Amino acid sequence: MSNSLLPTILAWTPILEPAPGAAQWWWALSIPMAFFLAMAYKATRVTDIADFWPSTLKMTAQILAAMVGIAVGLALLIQVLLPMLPAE
Amino acid sequence: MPLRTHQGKWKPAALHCDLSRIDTTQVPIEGACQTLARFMSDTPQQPFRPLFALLGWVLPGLGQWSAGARKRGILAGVGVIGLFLSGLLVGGLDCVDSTEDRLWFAGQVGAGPLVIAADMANSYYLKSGRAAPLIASAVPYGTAMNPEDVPKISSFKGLAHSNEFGTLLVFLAGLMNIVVLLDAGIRQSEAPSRRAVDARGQA
Repeated sequence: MSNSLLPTILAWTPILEPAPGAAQWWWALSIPMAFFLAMAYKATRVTDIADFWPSTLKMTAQILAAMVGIAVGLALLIQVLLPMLPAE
Repeated sequence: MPLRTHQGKWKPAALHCDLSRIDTTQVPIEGACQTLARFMSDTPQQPFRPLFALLGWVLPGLGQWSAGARKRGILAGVGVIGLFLSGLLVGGLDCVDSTEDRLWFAGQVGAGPLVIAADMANSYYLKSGRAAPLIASAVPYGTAMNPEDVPKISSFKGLAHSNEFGTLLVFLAGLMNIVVLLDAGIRQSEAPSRRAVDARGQA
């Protein structure tokens, strides 16, 4: 964490104003997003509640893996494949 | 008496079927047992109960809790409220706005009165300037405007990724709560019945 961000965090009023630094670390927010999403979904889907946490963690990993996979695929398409096409 | 299928539904009386009365010339006994086991493992369809769905909208997870599936209710509620609070922490109150982000709000409101309260707090604290000073917003290029007529916005207004992710998280909370409250409408009680408790006590 850079020193310039520390005073901003100390002065932060949670809920009222946006979290400082979220603009730089926005991609990391997909982890709690996937986790809470999987929690809410699996609470309605698992037949045996004992399977809840393994199912939730598995679904979280699946969501994140799918997002990373799509990001890598699109990056390859845009940065590698499209530049190989003829200009005209 | 040959076994008859019930199109995926069975009545409790079907469980009292006497296996000795099954006509094994018409139904092989092995197949009959498998059919009976499938009937017994099937969960009968619960009719939709709007009251539990409404309770699920009032507070995420309350529908399951009231229907007797308390642990599910707590876990579903933590999931939905976790998404909602994450959104508010990341984007601030500004990420719930029924006037400027009307379409987003239509999805967000699925999370219930929490979202409506956040929208009211946004108007009361941020847009009125009570929480932070109001500053002049940018004027479109080429527009001549009296400086006093320039619209003012809160200096706590969320911008760029913070606002986008916060809005998205609260939106997802609303959509997931619709899934959760629909489930609450058909959820059966998971509390042990009195007969099961008595049987366990006797054992």
